[in-house]
Amino acid sequence: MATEAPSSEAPACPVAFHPLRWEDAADPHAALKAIRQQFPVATIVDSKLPPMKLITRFDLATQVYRDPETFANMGISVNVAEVAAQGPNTTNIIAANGDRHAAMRRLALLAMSPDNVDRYLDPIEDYARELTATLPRGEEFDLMEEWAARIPSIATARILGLPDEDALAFRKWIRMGIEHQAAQMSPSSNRFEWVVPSDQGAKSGGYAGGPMFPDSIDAVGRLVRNRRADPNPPTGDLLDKLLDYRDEQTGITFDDDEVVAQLVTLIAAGNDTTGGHIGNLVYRMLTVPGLWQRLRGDRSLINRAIEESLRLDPPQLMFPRRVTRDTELAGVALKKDEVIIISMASGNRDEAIYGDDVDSFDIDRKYPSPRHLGMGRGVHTCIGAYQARKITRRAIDVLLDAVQEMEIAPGYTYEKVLFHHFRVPQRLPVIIRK
Amino acid sequence: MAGYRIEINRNLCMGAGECVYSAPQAFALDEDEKAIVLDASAATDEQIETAVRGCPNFAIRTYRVEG
Repeated sequence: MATEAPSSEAPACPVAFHPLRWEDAADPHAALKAIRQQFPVATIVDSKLPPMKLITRFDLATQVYRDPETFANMGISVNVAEVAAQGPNTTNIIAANGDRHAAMRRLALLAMSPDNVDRYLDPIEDYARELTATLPRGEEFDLMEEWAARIPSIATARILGLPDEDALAFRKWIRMGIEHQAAQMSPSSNRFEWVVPSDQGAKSGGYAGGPMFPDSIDAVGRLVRNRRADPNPPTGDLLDKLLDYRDEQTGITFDDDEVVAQLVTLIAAGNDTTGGHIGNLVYRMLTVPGLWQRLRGDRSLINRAIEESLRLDPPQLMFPRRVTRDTELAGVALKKDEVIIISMASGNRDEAIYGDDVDSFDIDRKYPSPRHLGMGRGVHTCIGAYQARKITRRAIDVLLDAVQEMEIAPGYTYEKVLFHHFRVPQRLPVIIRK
Repeated sequence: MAGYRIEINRNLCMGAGECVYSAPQAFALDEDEKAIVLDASAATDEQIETAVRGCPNFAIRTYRVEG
């Protein structure tokens, strides 16, 4: 119900926290708890940003996620003007809405549907097993770089029909693009620029903020150009299906550039998230007493550990939404074109859902259904969620087969990557003991 | 009494659980984390329609039945 009071006049939340300030994202939970308990719809301010609303409670986050007509997607940008300038025909599935989003999702499901993902799991497990056998014993190495990040990188490339040799280059390019994005979006960066008009940004999947993944686009574009130049192209393979896709329900079609952009978005979304999830989970396995041996002894518990990791340590901390009409949420007025930020990190520790012991890693805890917000909710639920869970399960199984004892290298303290959206380890130095 | 017959496409179902949230009387997740139909007639038409619209992977198909 709309109210008379413009929401911009709502008092600012007194807790000093802004989810877009990257130093605030490093360890956000004490601030999020204070906000969650006092300000379910908090007005958050920063001198370089327009006021925004922060949603910290599980039930309100669920309500927002499940009402995409009122709370529209805008990618990872929080710049309403720039997103609007890209128009409704964004090539970024994360920013798309309505019929356009549904058509893009059905296109992506040609590759990412669970039955298709299942076909790749055994070969990816074989890759993980070979990779695990190469890990050094008795000396320190970075498990993120040498192992955790590589498995989903190869998996994503194969599932999307891209060559293995490109997969690790994609990972490097995506990381560079994300750090570039972080530098432009976070108000605490001295490289902060509010609006960066960029055709390249739009082409790269509509990530507002500038040239994101030009090398990735070149590499995927080359595959498409080669296919188009092939006098006897294969028919019926994934690339053929993607390029010729016409969405039956809406009649929407996609040109080659749009297919390329969509593939690059899916590669970008599938790399650091899943690699970071695996890293976060292994970090808990090495720091929660008894967890490593318990999982090693009963592999059926790995799925519980995956869900608890996604609850306690969601790789993606938050997602923004644009308010499409004047409305209200929990008694707080919201104006059209206001930005609200859903904090999955906070909703996943909502005491009203999970009880008082929200900060501990407990694979025996009772969950609601769905268990947490770690993969989002509603029609935009992470399209790679199935793939991420299955790949993580296989990877952890392989690691526990090969390694009896592993420890975190002396002196290491958890440090997340720079990007304020993500809380995943930058490095995870470990030593395999036996 | 009119109602819906419901089919779940298990090739598409990713176990998001949105249908269980929309209509807990009608849907559950099985041990494979795939949706199953408990009792289509136990939920209201509106709940079923919300579940169909809310399925992120378009895995629920309904047929109108008279019975």
